[in-house]
Amino acid sequence: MNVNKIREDFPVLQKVIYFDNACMSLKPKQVIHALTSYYLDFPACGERSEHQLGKIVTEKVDEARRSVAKFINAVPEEIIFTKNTTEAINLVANSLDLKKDDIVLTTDKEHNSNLLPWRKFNHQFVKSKSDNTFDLEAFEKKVKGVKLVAMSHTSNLDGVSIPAKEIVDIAHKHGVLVLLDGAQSVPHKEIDVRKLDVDFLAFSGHKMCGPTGTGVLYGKLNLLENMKPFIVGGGTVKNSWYDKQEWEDVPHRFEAGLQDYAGIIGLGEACRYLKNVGMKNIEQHELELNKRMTDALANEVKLIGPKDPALRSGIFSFNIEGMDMHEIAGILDNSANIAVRAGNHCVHSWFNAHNLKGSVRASVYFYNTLEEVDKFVEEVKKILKFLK
Amino acid sequence: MVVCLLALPLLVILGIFSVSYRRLAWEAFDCVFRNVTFRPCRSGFDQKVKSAIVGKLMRHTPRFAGLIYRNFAVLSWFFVIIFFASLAGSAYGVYNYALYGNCNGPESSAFCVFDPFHEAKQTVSLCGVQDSSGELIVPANLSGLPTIGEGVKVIEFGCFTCPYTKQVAGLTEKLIKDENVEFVFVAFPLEQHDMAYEANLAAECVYALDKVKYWDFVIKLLKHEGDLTEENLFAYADLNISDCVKNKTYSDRIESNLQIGRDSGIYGTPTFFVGEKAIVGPKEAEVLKAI
Repeated sequence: MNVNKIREDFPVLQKVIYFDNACMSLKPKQVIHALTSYYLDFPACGERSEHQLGKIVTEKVDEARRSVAKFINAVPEEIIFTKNTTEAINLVANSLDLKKDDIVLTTDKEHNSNLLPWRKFNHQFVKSKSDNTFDLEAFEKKVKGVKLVAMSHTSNLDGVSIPAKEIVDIAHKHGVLVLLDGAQSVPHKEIDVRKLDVDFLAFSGHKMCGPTGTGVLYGKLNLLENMKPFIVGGGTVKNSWYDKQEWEDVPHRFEAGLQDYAGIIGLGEACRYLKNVGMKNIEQHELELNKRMTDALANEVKLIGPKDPALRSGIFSFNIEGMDMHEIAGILDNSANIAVRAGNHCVHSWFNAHNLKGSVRASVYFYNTLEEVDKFVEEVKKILKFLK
Repeated sequence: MVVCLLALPLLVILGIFSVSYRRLAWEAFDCVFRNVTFRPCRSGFDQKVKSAIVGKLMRHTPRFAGLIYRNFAVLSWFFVIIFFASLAGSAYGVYNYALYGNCNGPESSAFCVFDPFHEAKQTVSLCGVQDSSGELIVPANLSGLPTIGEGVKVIEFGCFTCPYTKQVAGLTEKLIKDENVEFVFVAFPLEQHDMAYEANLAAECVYALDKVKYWDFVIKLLKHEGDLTEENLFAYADLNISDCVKNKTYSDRIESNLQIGRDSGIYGTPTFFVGEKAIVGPKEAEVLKAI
């Protein structure tokens, strides 16, 4: 993987050291061109209008769906376009046949997007081990009688991944469905839904070089076919009468109203781009960056999560004793143009339970370099030396 | 909280002119409001300001940045106190300006930077008097001094060749011609000015000969431009005063005037007394009217 060559696709990297990839990834020129080509060349209605421009849009959207499906080894019919992971999870929460007393099991460090939708059911969670890694034994004890397991594949808080394959296998043994929140995993490592055998997978385009306002819900075809639409309207029915309607086939019955065609086309391009870079390369490169960061700083700051960088994806979440996280992030931004995130990262529940106000989170991606990591380390050390 | 307090008025003013400051102003307000109602600040505005300042300093002088970071609260309080003190001072200045035309107050001769309408009401300088007590007291005994009109008493101590007395020649003329003002002119020659003494001798001679012509003579002398000569004095007098001047006939009156000035603590010309109030330096008529 030639990082310097890749960086040419992201001009903004000349101005900033961007370590806020867990929130939003940057977009390569190719994706931006795909996005703008819709507005410049064929800005029409897809999947409805039969004129030439309409046909191009329909073809491009189908192409994008195939690209996304291929990216996670699914079939196109299993790909529902949403506006983000949050909407994808809400779709399952509202469309799956769940009753009020049904148990939905999550981890104890879920993003609000995979916590709040389950509150209307019997929500329970599996407490993590002391090093924030997943407690499979505790999970096995709790899974019986559960209706749905809904868990973050990789935590946006500390980068720790759950053993998804084992969890799915155990859950299925008990006849329990599994939804994975893949917002932090799909952009960073190879995901094969067939191998994982996961029932639902939700992820966002904006964290994987795609446009903002794009997301995906993958669902096994047989499950999707038995689910009622969540948001209904144009495009969700084959026919309708004053007193009844005939639902569209999957996935269209879940894509109500005119879609974000430009965004969807851009997302398809993002999947192709990442495939070309190689997901294994991306995972390996992020590990190398995180290792460099961890080796230099882990003993000097209060790290959240396990010390082993191999267990934390590309995320380095930390605090400095006696300093406010927002101040640290602000100082990094103003002193060296380093963009990191500070706060609760939408995982308020975990921080509240641990009596912490939040953390500073540096999250890397494949276009970041070791030199950038060294600069980050240097600036954090300066803060430790002069400000603490 | 402290930084928010400091930033709020500034951002509110900037927000009037630019929408980009309004969000910051709102954040600062939210921070102040929540703090005064004993709740934590939600916007993190104070931290943003602190980190922006410290971050920029870190680029150049990390040690100094550390000093600022650790003492930020103390420094913020210092600037808040300075800010509100200067705000109060400014408000007092505006009050003075509105009332007296000079932000330093009616009795001040100091320069006032606040002059939005360029009325030049404030004193920029004056002709100084040596050996003055500086404590201005309304002169008690003015008997025998040139007086004109009836009404509000205004006393002017002026030197005929002092440029700042001459600067208010128009005002002096108005006071002479205003029938509702009892105007007393105390000719007060300053030794540093050429021809001041001679002009004063001439004025006393004119006053002795013709009290009506005296006031015309005063106005002409004050309005005279360029160097003053004996010929000018005789021409402006329109009376035969050459012997009177040469013989210094009324030098004792001049000495008397100077003594009145010393007793009144006159430290510069022109000085006006309006009732009990003293105004030093060139002023507009509105200043005197306001008093």
